[in-house]
Amino acid sequence: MTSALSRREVLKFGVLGSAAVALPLERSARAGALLPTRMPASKLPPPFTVPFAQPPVLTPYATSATTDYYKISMQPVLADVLPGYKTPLWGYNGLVPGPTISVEQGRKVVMRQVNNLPAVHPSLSYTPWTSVHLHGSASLPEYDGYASDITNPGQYKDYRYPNVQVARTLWYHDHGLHHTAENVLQGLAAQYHLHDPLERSLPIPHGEFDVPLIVSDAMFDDTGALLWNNHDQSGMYGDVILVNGRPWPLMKVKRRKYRFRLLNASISRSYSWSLDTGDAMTVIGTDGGLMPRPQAVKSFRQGMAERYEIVIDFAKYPVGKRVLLRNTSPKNNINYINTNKVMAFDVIGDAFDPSDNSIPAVLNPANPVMSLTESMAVATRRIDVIRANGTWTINGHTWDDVVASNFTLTEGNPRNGDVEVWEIRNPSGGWFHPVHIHLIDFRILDRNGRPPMPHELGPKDVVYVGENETVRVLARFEGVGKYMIHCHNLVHEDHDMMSQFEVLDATTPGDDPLSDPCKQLPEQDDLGWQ
Amino acid sequence: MILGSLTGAEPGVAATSEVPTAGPAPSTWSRAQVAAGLSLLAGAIHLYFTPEHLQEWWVFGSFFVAVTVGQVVLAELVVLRPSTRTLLAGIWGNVAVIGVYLVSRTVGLPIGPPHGVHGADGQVLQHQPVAGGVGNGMPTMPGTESATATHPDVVGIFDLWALGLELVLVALLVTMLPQRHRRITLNAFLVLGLLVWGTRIAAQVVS
Repeated sequence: MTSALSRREVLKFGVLGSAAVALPLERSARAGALLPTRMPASKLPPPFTVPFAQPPVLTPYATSATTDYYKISMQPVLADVLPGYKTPLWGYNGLVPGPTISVEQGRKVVMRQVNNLPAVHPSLSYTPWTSVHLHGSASLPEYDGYASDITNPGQYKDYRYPNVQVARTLWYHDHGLHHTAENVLQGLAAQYHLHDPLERSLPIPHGEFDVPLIVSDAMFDDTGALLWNNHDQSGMYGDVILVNGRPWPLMKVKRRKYRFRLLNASISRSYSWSLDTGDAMTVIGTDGGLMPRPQAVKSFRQGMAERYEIVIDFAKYPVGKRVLLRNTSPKNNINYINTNKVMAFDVIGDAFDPSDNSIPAVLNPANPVMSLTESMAVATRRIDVIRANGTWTINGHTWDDVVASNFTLTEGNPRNGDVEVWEIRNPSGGWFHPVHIHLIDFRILDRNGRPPMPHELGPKDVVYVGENETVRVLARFEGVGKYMIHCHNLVHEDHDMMSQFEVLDATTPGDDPLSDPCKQLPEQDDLGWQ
Repeated sequence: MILGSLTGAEPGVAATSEVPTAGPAPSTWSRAQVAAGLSLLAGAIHLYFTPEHLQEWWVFGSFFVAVTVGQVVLAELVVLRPSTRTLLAGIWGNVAVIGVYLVSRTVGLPIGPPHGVHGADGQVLQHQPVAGGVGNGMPTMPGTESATATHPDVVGIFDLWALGLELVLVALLVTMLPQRHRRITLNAFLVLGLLVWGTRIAAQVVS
């Protein structure tokens, strides 16, 4: 007998073998094309053809000696995202992204959020209750966007923000239980800038040259509507990169320094930024405000919800030069043909104000969290972000477990004022988790035993816990009550990688996160800081 | 050749499942060793992904453990005890693994972890009621309205590596079979392959 397969035998084997090879690939190819109605790439705008735009700064509805009052309506809007199409979205005041709030340190803010969304999502068939989280603010528990503290359509809630922290880039976004990803992708996200005297006094770019960049990604059908796919609760990824709601925009820049407040508002996509010129960008701020010293980097990665303030100096480029902001994607994202492009800057020769056009060698050396040392820690806690039995969990717990415990389950109970080390571990090689700890700022001590990356050398409230990474962070817990900790891949958060901790005080009990519930419309004229 | 050397049978004559008492010919050993190597590589890939699948669901993880163990054991047996029974077990065991892969990447497995399971109305089960919630807050993703189990996975590069290794392994094991078993096995492959393709084409026609 012959040992090799004869031609006839190869054919027999090939019928089965070809099915094993071809059919899964064919199915994957169809899945890659997502739904048959996905907008073809040929109908998407070519990158760098849509003009850059910024969200407007919202004017307070009323002011008092101590407080600014805002009224925001969460409502549907037909937005101009892709040229020639109308995209049904939801926006704060009908804007996507929503209007920027700009406030000075020490001034309180009362923000009335009215849920004027439809009773049922038009394609996903859920009731869009909301919970607004001011990300980066040490708000009281009942104003922190606690996921179960929901506001249904037809209801409203007044959120109160103290604004006592140092200057920083915050953002407000939806945090409603089980559909945060959908609500945020639908448009419920915006920046919030907190200023303080130090930040105002530094000669870094301000005003016209202080620019918010809210980066997200989305996929559209051939009518311009959003397409939905959470990849079996793993993540949502789009083939269109949006900056301030515009696809791959083109921004005209003058020959000077610009400060960009870069927020990754994507649902599940992380980015690794670089300029096509190979030049360095200077990171001056992180989630919790200005860094002690600026850090020049040629590229850096940014997980969901992280904020970095970067300065790009366009003075070195000739008029007419185009500079591209690119994304060399970190692993475990789903990428498409143009997700490696973000936006372009065209250098123009217009005159400009030469003031505030430098980067001091020292920015904020006195930031309290950056002064903490490991020796000050009184406890070390471990936070494991793991997938167990098909569910995303924090230490094996889900928000369902928190609810089932009548909100008593916690991952830890730091005492008010204590400094602690939290060791966050991601044992998986298959996914990354940007972990957000509410209430506090922290300093990253190390990652897998190595020093934090240069761009992370500032105060943080989200940390990128990459594949098989263990990250240790150091924080002082100031404030009392229950606060959430969760993955900021919002699909993971919704299903159900979220738990809580409670800061305890010997004399003062913390407010119940559910103690100031929403009210039914019509609005009552009862705004006022207590 | 190979089978003749392995079993001591006349060339072209069906062999028995005896283990050779004398040392096998070098070519026999090399074929068995190649098969063992392929099986070990495939097992290594399954082992690498076992923790991930254990996290996903203990049943999935246990399956990967079983496949890993099976492929390691096959690698040993195909070298040390290359009987017809071993070869057939190796062939059909790997075909079964390929079958599970085929189902998981085309129509989705009929079983899945308890969390994230969708009921007939498309609602994810086992979430706690939401106090104060008006209506249903669970989004229904397109395509999941009537799903009862997991959805098809996307083919990854390691999937293709494992599949390729297993297909070559199966082909190699087939060439080591006695002629009669070899003929029956390949005919069974033909029927099975036609069934799979026929099902796919029928599904396409119906849709």
